[in-house]
Amino acid sequence: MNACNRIHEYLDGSIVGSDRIRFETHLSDCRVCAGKVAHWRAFEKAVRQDASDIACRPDTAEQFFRQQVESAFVQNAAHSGWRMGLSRPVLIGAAVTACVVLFFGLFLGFSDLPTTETDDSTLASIPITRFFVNGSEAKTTTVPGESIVTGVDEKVLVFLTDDRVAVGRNSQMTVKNSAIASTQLALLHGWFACSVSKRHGVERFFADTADGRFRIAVKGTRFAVQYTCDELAAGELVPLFQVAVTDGVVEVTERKSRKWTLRADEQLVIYTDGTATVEAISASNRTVVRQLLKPEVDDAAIHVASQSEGKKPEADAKTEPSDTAPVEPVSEMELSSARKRERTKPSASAGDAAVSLAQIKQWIGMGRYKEAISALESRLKTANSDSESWRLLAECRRKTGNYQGALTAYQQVVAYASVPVANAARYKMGLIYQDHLNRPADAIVHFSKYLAGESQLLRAEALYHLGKAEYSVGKKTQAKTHLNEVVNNHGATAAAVKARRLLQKMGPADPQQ
Amino acid sequence: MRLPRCIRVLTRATAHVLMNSKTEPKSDEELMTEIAAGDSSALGQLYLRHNGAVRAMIRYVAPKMSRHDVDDVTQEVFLSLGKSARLYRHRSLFNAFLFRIATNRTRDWQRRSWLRFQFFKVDEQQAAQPALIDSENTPSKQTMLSRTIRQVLQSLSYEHREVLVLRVIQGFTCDEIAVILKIRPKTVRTRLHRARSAVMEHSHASVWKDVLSENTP
Repeated sequence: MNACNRIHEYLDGSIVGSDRIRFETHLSDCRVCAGKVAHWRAFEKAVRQDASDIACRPDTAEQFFRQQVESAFVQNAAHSGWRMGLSRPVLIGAAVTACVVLFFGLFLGFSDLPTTETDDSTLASIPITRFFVNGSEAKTTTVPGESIVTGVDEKVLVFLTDDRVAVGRNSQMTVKNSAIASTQLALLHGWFACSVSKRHGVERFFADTADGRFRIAVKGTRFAVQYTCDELAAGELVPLFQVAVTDGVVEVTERKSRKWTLRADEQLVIYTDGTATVEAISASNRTVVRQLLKPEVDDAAIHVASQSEGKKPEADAKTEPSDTAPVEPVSEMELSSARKRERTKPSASAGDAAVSLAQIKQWIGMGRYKEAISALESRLKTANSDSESWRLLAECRRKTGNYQGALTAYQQVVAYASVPVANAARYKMGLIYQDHLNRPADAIVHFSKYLAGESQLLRAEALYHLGKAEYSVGKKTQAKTHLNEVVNNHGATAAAVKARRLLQKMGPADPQQ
Repeated sequence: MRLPRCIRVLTRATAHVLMNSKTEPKSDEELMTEIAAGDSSALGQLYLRHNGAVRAMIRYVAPKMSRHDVDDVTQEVFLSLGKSARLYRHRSLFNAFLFRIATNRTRDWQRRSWLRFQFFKVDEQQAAQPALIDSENTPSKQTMLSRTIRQVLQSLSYEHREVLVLRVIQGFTCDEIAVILKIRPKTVRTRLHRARSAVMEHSHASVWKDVLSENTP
């Protein structure tokens, strides 16, 4: 080993004995190493001398700082009980508590919630004043629970329902669009507990359960949809979907992945096996919701429901008893009786067909469209004027991408169904022409017919689509007129949001048109 | 027979002086035991005994520290010594215990000064008047020496400076420095080797040469 490399060991004093003598001999020969060692010794000496100067202080300063240290030590000793004895257990306890809270929060409690906002404590429970079951007013003693959840303003909200809102399998419930648009809405019936609050621009929400228990819990600006079926333990709710409303469109997510985006005219149907589909809301499947403080909303809904169920095609009316065709029931009792009569009608027809409509609807909900189409086609061979079958067939064809076939079926619906259903079919045809077949001129025709019809439940959406179609064919002025009508008259709808965007995209009006 | 008053006073004073001369000063370990029992005067004695070495170490390890900061940190070191007196074990070397506290407090100051600089944008050079030269109006030979040493030490990294100061000024061995800094002895040797090499490189500077030439034996 080169001796020059051992200079640091020599300076450290780690070389002893003969090695040290050998290195000192090397130092006498090597001027470089000798110079380094000399410089280092000089550096050490200089630093030590300087340090000794720094360490020397006047006696007064020494005594002053000594007193300072002693007094500070005495003061600290008074608090030593906390610092040395109590602080550690307190800190450990706080840390353990925080860990426990985090564990239960993250893994047990908070995981079920879609959001950190849990402002659902404002809901109150008060006695029911009026309650409607199957279209007729019922006594409060017959209502399960005898109470209803209300909004923060303690307004009593009741709902009018048909026989499909019932306890058990294959029960369905759909919240009506106009009712959700109200300020507060709360429903409670048997197995169903639904509470929806209008906050931060929540305007519409449609839900339709096919089985089991279903709950929408308001959590701030979002909804947590919890669902359970009969196979599960009683009272156990399984978080299934999370629903958020943004820009008037209901977005349904499952495990943080977007599953569906519901438009104003669509509903989410959830089934027992956990599957769910998005379907168009039909007038016959609409539960009429009444809010006592806004009776005009309910009256309109009742009117629509009575029209959808009362006005039957003439071909069907001939085969059915004469008392099954009530005209414009004006009271709720009449509506109830009309619905009871309506319930008897599908059972008779279902007996003739191989597969009942309920079974077909379940297939559609489960996504088994091919089976549903074949069943509907076989069903229509025997009853060609069954508008409901034509409507379901059109929906199935639309879902499977057979848009021409869907249009043909919808034309049959227009021919045979009652006015509201036929009008809704025109709206659907317009959507198909506009969205799938890229024929905006035909879409304009159908949207115009829809808007000219009697029942215009989707007037805002139809106006928006009409304006969109007109804009695509170059009729900018008409398009702006219709879009402005949506914005001005239906400002709290999703269509208004989309209309505003389209208007911004269109820019200023063209005076030459 | 009663002795005169002046003789009685002288006798008593002589006896007192003789008794005091016979009593040996208490060791650091004994003083630590008394501090643990709550005796603040023992801490004062330790302060008088070791504050110079601690102050010198702090000044060299943190050359940017002002004189007042050095005093504050030194007081913090001895207050920490008093608080942790119960943790002191007599098997360990007292100096290692003390200088471990001193190095920790110096690091704390470094961290605080960095934060102060980051958040309040205080210019360290302006805020911290170097303690080694701030009281001198005309630089003397000693001041020049101090300034040169400070420059050399500032050119080193904090870790290298720490090891070098403990080795050169305090005379700790590599193993003791390893105990103080809680690092391996091999790491200490490596840092010391690099620090020494850096100092030797600076010894070629002209100012340093002049200073060294006067101190060269």
